[in-house]
Amino acid sequence: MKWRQEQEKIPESVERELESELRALDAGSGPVPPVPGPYWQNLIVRTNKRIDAVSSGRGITISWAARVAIPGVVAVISFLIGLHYYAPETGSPTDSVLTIIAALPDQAVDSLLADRVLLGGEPPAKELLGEKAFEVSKEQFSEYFIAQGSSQKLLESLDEKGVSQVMAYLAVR
Amino acid sequence: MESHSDLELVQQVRNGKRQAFTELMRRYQERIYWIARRIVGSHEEADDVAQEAFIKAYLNLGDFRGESGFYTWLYRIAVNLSLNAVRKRQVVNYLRESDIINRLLPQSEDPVAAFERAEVHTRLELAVAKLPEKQRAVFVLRFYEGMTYEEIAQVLKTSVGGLKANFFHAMKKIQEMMKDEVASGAGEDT
Repeated sequence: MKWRQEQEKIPESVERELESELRALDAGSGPVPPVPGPYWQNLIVRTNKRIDAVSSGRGITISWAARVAIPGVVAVISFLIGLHYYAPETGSPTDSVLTIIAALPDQAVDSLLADRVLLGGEPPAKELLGEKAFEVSKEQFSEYFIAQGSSQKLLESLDEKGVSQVMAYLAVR
Repeated sequence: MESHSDLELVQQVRNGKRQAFTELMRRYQERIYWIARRIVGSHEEADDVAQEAFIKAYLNLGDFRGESGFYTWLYRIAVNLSLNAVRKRQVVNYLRESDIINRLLPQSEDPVAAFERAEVHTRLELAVAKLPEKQRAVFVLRFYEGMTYEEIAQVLKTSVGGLKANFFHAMKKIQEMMKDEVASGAGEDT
């Protein structure tokens, strides 16, 4: 309830004078007609009856709200919040495998591919990564071969022409 | 039971002792009734407001934190219910002089003397009933209940300065209305 603030200063003497004037007028009216005594006892009885009637229904309402409804709503909201923030991320299996392969060191990938080739199956990386998975440039191939292979064995396996090509390539680098 | 303070009785009610609330009702029913009666202007409505006030107090006892006195809290409920009751009905239609005079007439008394006494009282009651509701509440609590401004401020949750102004303006209006009544009565006599 909003109460308008009337903050003007009123002298106490003026207020008292006015109040006593009204009290004199009120006193002239004599005592207020008394309310019969039994009314008060009756008022208590009737009020108690109404409290009984209201509180019996309300008791159920309150207990239901306190024990079931409120915890239920809180639980559902908590569940939804949890679901929103803590749900496991669901990526496609293909993405996961690709991610794992991409994270593997090169040598591990090579060993896997070699094992699979020896067993006679298709290279899994080709299945996963597509046709271009094994398309490497000559430069990449040469670098890999020089880095991984034994240079002595390499030279022994080359003929004259091959040796001259390797020498020419190295001269360019 | 009499020796218990209001707060002790409230605590007992909270602990399930219903009889303690009956004791609280016994303590305050007359004051609550008269506050309501003076704001709403009729016994029937005051009776209903008094019951409603106690029912509301009982059901909301959990919200009572003891920051103010129990009676202050109860008065607040009663005043608000009374003002709501006033708003709900049409004051002008209800407050016909004949109704009020009939209600105020004591049953076993000289009818003429009773009428004369009731008439003056009716003038005051009529004047109070014509006040704006906020001024009426302040006037009733201060004039009839003898409450201090600080106590009324707690009941109505407003500032003491505003209450003083409300009370003063209420008294001025009542004074003017009663003077007008007297003047118009004298005019009719001549």
